[in-house]
Amino acid sequence: MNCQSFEKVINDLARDLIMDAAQREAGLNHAVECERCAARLADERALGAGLRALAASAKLEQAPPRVEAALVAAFRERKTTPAIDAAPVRSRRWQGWAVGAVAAALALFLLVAGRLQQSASPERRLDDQNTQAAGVKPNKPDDGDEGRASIDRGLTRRESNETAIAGAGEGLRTPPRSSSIAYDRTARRDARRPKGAATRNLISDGGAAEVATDFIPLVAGAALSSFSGGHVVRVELPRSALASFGLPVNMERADERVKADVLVGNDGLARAVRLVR
Amino acid sequence: MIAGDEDAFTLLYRRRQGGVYRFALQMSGSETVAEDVTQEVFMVLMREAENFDPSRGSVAAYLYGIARNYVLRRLQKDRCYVPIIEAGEEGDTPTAECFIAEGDPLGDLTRNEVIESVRQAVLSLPAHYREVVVLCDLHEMNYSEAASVLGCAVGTVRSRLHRARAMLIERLRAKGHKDAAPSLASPTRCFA
Repeated sequence: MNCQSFEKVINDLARDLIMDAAQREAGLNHAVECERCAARLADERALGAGLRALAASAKLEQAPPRVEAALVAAFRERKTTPAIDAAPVRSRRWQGWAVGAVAAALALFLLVAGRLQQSASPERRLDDQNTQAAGVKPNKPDDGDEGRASIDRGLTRRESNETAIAGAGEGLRTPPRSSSIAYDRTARRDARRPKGAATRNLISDGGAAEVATDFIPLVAGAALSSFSGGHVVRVELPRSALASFGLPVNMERADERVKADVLVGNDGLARAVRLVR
Repeated sequence: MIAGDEDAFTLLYRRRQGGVYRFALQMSGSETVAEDVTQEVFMVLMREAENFDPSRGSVAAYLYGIARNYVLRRLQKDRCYVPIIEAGEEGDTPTAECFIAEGDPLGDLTRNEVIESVRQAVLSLPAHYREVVVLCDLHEMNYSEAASVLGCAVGTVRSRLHRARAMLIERLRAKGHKDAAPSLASPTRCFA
């Protein structure tokens, strides 16, 4: 070992750390042979002793009791008081709607995918009583646009949805605040539309005409019956997400976005969703 | 603690506050800063306990890391600097043997003076050298733990510590070790 190599191990030697036995022996042997390195090692050991003494002298130092008292008080306050965000109220409300919309979209995927799996036939006809149920707007299928044609064949409805959707429609008494979309009922368009399915013509904020399906419920039963009003939130979903409905997707257009309206109750719970074009 | 158990939080605080406080005190040299930093560290823990990832390090390393950030921020803001006490102090030349003396008033006085000299020398180091000395030498962390706290590689910790200790020796010698002990060598190094 030379002096340069000794410098690399001198700290570990001086601090008596666990190290390679061969290196330790080589380092100590070099200190015996080299007076300067021996002096360096002695300096390092003296420094180590001084640092240990400093550490020992400070060993009993603690934060004053008032720090603990302040922290405990803060901890109790956090338990009793809901966390308050620093974001402005308007921003928090928007964030709440956005979170609700995303949750609604995810819930939609799970719900519809599960129901499609349970369904014996993916294309059930809708009778007049089911005009309130999930329907599909007619689209002219483009060449290779299997997605749109599949939407034409419709999302299936479930009888349990009827009253749920009806309840949702009746409960929505106030105009949506987050969307100024107005709509009016229309008659069935053409023979390609599944019997009983209904669509609505929408007039968006910019005046452009839109067509949408009826609302597809995301919750059922008691949860939907407690609906007492809410808002409609416009979201965009990737077209590939339609696969969750059991519908084939044109992979060439899988990256495109599909508009959807989510019905969010005043309690923040997403009630239903509809596709919009 | 995350579930809101006050006793758990109190227990954790009492177990860890000493190390955090001493680290902040040894880094800043100020009891006020150390107190503020200690409180901030546990406030952060209270708010963001979910961010602790056991796979990335121990609770101690997590708390020390937060404390380090606050101390450095405070140092930069306050520009704390504690100069080495100028030479001229009376007393025996500090040697390694003087730390062993016990029950000797003069020895105790010398020991306290040396401790104070070492403390001042540590505080005079640049922050990135000071923190490795405080963690590795004063808090007896190994290289891996210190690297976790500092967010750097083990090799970086080793090299910084080597340089920091060399600086301490130079500064302590320059402070006025006039009667050099036989163990103290000349400042020149050999790199054969």
